[in-house]
Amino acid sequence: MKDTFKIVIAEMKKQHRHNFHSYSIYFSLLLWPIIIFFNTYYTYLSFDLTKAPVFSGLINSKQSLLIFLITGFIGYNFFYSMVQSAWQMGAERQNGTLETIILSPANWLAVVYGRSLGALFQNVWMFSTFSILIIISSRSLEVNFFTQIPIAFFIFTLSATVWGGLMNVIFLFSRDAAILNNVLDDPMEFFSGVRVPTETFPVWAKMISVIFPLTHSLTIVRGILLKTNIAWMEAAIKLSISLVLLFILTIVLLKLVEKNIRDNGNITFY
Amino acid sequence: MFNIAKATFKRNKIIAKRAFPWTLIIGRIIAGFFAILFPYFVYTFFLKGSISESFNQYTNQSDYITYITIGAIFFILGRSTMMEVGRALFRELKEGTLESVLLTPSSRIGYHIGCLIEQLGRSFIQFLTMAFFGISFGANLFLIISMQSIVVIILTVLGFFSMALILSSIMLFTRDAYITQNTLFAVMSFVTGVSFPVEFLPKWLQYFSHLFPMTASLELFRSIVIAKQSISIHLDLVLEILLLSGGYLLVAMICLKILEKKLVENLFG
Repeated sequence: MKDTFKIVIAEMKKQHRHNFHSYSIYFSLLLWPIIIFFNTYYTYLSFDLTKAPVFSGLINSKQSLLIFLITGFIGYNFFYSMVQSAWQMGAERQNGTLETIILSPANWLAVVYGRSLGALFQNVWMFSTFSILIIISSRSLEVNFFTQIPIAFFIFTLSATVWGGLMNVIFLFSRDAAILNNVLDDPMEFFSGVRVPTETFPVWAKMISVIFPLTHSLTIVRGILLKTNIAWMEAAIKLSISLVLLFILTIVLLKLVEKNIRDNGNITFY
Repeated sequence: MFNIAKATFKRNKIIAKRAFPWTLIIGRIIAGFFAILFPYFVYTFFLKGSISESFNQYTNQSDYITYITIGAIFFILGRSTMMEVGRALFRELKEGTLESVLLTPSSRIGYHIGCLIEQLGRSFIQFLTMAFFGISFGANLFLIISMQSIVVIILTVLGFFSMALILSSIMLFTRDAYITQNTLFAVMSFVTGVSFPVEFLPKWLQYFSHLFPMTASLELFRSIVIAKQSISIHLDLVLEILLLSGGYLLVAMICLKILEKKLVENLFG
């Protein structure tokens, strides 16, 4: 157990040293999401929120719309930075460091989760700051605000790390998993209800949205921050089930990857 | 100039045929689909058609889905056109063929026109896909083919072309494609009125939005196709597109000329 932690910490440190100097993350994980956030907000202004059929009292004013959207965007930011970190697994392969990792006695699972946690902390802090500013500016400051924010971040961190583990394993399979990037960018964003509440989806869209753990995380976090009477207990159960399933899938895939490499690989992959 | 355009056109066609970047095309189609799907869901399932007063006021009671579809089509086409033409020289740099291009006495503008025409062929397929999405979501696009709309499309392409040349010189100068192009496209989709009227934005952003020829061409196209107005009452918009495109073309050509000297020195020095 102690060794596993050591590996997770080591991998996080490595990620930090490797990527943190790159200025490009200020664009891809701060500036672009902010522009897209405001773009979405203004798209909603074409509608009359007060005339809208009431939806569990969730969004009826510009303030609640802002909180609704920013929670969606921060959740998506967490999950998407996982996809990006997994995408960089390709660089590990090209640089020839993947062999070294595989040959070392380090636990693969620890490496994989170290990667996702490392990417998480250095990628989301900027947009998180922005989100907290938006939340503070759009609702009155209360005492329980200081307990709600950490809970929200805990839920996002937990679910995004599990998700990131799976992503990293999938990208271990292939040199070019760019197609996955396409599938997980826009569709995940749309169907997990980042910008439109999933509760109003038609049945077929709801069925797709269940697949993504982001859907359930968002339901819980919005339940906390917007004080809706959505059954958040139910969402919590759904989230835990999907996280456990994802974890099992990660382990199974990891075994398959290992077998695949033993059967088809040679000492240099690239 | 025309020979160069023709030759570049042929070469790019062969590249596209033999090394077709499928993932890029699929990515663009998916992006286009979701660009329409999001407002469609809000309109149909979430807010059930409760359009705000201000939207009606600024757009003369436009049909929302048609309004959105036209915006999304323009944006996706603009993005792919600007990206392909703007990246042409940068790609030569990456692939190591820029030296040969710079050493030939070929017309630079002809080279870019060749890239543009080749890209337009592919854009047309993309346009058909997007129009199909839009119509299946209920957009009324049947007025899209008329003499007037074709004139506007030509003006729009001119605008995209001029912006692409500016993009090209920025990319060659900064030696970066990823950050430059994506920042430009994020800003463009926000300020030019792709998914909401430009009037919603704060005043300073509205002025800023008129730096993009697409703002004027979107407004022009929508008033012709949705409001069925004649192009002759919007001559100010036509003039705006022409002035902006002309200005950008001029600036870009000067910039590329200066950059060329610098690049030749860097590459051979």
